[in-house]
Amino acid sequence: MTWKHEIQLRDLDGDRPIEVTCRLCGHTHYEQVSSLRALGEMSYLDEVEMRLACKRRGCRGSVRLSLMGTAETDGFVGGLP
Amino acid sequence: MRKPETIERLYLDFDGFFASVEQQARPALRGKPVGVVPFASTTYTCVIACSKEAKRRGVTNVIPVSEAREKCPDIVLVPQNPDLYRRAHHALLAEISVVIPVDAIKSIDELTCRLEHADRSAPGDLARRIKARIRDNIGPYITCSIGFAANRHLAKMACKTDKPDGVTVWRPEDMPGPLFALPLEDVPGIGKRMGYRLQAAGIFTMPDLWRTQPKQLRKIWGNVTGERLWYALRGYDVQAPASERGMFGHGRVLPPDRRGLAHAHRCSRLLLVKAARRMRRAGFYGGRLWLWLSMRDARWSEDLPLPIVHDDQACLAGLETLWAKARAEIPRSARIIRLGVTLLDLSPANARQLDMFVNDDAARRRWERVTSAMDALNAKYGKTIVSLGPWTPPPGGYAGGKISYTRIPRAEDFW
Repeated sequence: MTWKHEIQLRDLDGDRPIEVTCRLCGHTHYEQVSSLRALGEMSYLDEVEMRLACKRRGCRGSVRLSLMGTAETDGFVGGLP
Repeated sequence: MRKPETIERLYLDFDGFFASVEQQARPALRGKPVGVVPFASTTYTCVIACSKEAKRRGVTNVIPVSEAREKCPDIVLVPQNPDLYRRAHHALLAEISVVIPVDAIKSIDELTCRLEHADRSAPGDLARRIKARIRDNIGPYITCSIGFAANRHLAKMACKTDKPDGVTVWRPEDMPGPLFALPLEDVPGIGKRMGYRLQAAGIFTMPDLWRTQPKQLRKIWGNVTGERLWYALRGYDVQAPASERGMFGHGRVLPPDRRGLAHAHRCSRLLLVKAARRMRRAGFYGGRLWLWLSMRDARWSEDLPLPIVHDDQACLAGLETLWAKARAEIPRSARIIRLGVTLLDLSPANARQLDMFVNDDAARRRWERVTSAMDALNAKYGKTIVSLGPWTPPPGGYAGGKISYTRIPRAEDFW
């Protein structure tokens, strides 16, 4: 059971970006959670991953999802984390 | 200021992150001493990260390759692969966030979380769950060390005391005992220079530091950081204040055979376009452009005000102005070793202040539409297929995709 089997689209903010990378050609594009929700009945991210395909013309390969962080890294200030 | 009465923070640090990700991804490297270097096929560089096996043989991070080879002749040097580390970071974070929400990402291999009430009494169980998820879903070659304490600072220090693959719990009632066992340089925020300053003030050991007063540390530091550190060491709920984005920039060391002005100029164009893309994605305009060129015995730098812009044409036009100055002031035979471009004086995209003396709004809007169209095409094809002027990525790849303490690149940064 990976995170894709446990996190649902409704657990995430609508503007959260999800990186979609083709396992075949390596093409990467981004989807927003809100636009994935609009695609219809998919709740868990493994279902989303199975439904999506590479957007590169003529490829249609299966894809791998990567959940992007919601914020930038939070720097150290004077060594304080 | 609040002083937690129990452990409230978790700090997680992956062990030899770049090297362990390489070992996880490439079975041939497993069990071997591995050093990650910035570029392939050069010995005039340093090992930026090394595996547990290499560390056991005396190799440390940021050590010259020659020295690493002296200590460990069979070290396997692999060129860095920022895209792989970036993807591993996101996968690891997703797995950890299923166990506990991540409060802050401190760097590509460090993060911190707030403990739920239930986890405060059994931190060991939480650590085991996190480690098990990483082992089962990512792989056993990527390990992490976890520290628990009252605040982030102590949790980070605790985390570093039992590496690799350790778990350390510093409960408030146990303090300051564990601190006294550490040398001063193990305190985040005390580097070499600060160590000299502390010595000048008669502070040589952790007990010496413990006996100081907050105002005394403030005076030694010359700012509020010293005082914050005093409270952090005593377990108060102190952490780094939130920082705001101040600039977008990129730097690059040029390969030895491409250090002429023409190569440096081409590289600076590419770096600037990449910085401008990041600035647009983050929703900012830039009001100043800075170019710096580093030679063997000299350094040239100059900045130029920009009319609050974010389109490629305006940024590149500013860069050409700076290069005209550079060419006039630097000998033609100069060898540029490192260079960098930075967009500064940022304004949010929804608050562009027009320049009273520059009537360029119509032109800017037109170029912004052109730039948006180019960005959309590049995003559609997942690489740079349209650019203003030539697009010649420097050898070594990953221009604009470097991983730093405060930045984890996106896939778009590699296009």
